[in-house]
Amino acid sequence: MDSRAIYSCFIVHNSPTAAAAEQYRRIRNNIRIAAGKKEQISLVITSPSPGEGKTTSAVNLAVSFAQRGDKVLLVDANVRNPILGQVFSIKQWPGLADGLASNIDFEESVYLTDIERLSIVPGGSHLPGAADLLDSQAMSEFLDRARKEYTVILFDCSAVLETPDAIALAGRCDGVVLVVSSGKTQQKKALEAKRLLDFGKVRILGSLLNRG
Amino acid sequence: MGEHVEDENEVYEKAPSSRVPVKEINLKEWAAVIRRRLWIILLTTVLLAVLGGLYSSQPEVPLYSSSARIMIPAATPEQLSTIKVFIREPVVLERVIQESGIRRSAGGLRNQISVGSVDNSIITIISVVDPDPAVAPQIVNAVVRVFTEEVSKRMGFNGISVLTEAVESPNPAPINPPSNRALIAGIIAGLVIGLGLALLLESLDDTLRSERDLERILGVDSLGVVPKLQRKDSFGNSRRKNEYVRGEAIGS
Repeated sequence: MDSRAIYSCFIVHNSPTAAAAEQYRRIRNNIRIAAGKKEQISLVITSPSPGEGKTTSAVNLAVSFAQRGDKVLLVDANVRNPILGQVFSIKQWPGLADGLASNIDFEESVYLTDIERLSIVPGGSHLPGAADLLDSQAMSEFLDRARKEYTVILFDCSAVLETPDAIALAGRCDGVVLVVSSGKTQQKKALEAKRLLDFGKVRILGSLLNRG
Repeated sequence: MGEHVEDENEVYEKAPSSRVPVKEINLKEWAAVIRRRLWIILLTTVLLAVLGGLYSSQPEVPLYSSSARIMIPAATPEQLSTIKVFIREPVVLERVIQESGIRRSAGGLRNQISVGSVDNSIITIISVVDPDPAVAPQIVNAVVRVFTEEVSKRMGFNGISVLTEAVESPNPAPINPPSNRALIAGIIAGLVIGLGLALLLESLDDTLRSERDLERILGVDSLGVVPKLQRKDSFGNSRRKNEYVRGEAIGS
């Protein structure tokens, strides 16, 4: 993640008038509509393949939800290769993996950010079998705890074709937002990802075309 | 009721095909393809233009043409054709080379000579193209003389008369003046090939590009498009107070 990529993560925060920020707000509203205008939503942000702009989209969406007044929890569910801590320049651990392995309390894995109403949970320590914890009783408890406090819970998840994590996690959330990179994502891969999501009975709220 | 609903569905399904002008969409798509693959079109155009330019700038041997007009009052079209073929027969050419003493081979000479009729009449034009403006009319006249003799000797045909003899022009102009035709041809060929390559790449490229692609190919609702970052967005000169400033990343 170079500084420019990091910058683009905060486009909504730093340049609220930019065209991209405007679009993120539109996408945020569309997500709310697609999710049935529930007051509380939990989403998985993923993409067919790695490097299509998941983290950038996740952070910007989180910020735009926070701007709307939601209490937002952004979770780095990419436990194999966590990056969110780097983006927000906080420690990578303790985080989600430690929380799920019940080494620590829920509160200890949540970090406040400089952005109002936005808290994040970094990926956490590299634990063997951390990925399996995403689809466990511990995850359900984590979600229940989070729902008590936050109205929007976003999971930045690894790619669908890379790991089964996104599908496992999405089953416990309201649905998936599929990030597709314009001119980069191949139809074949996108269709394969969609097939996997459909097979996993995951609800695809919609997809987001990333031209950035 | 049920029937009525079916009717509506039918109308609904037919509507898009009749409402969307196919041509316009194609043109738009073409324009988009050209814009997206402009680099390859420009590359091939420049490449072939350079090649054409190099070819154009090569010095060429200037060629000069000279011709004579003769009349062959043949009785039948077959006879006329035969006589005209006779002009470029080796029998004639060998004698021309011998008698005029020019250094050309029979085969080479044959390629220099062209025979044509004026509007399907019996008037025939014999032209010779040669690098030497003085030699060309010599060859023409030698050919006419020898061929007339040969025809009367071998075919017993005597009616050939010369209308205009070939003369050396006082200020000869070459028939192949240096031109930049190769350059222009290179540019045009480059454009065509570039366009072809662009379309080929486009047809091989199966990436998703638009919200329409998402909905049509993937069958997923599009939530929106995140545009490219504008430069002024990423390097705004007005740093806000609440700008998110990162500290040092810990680890990586």
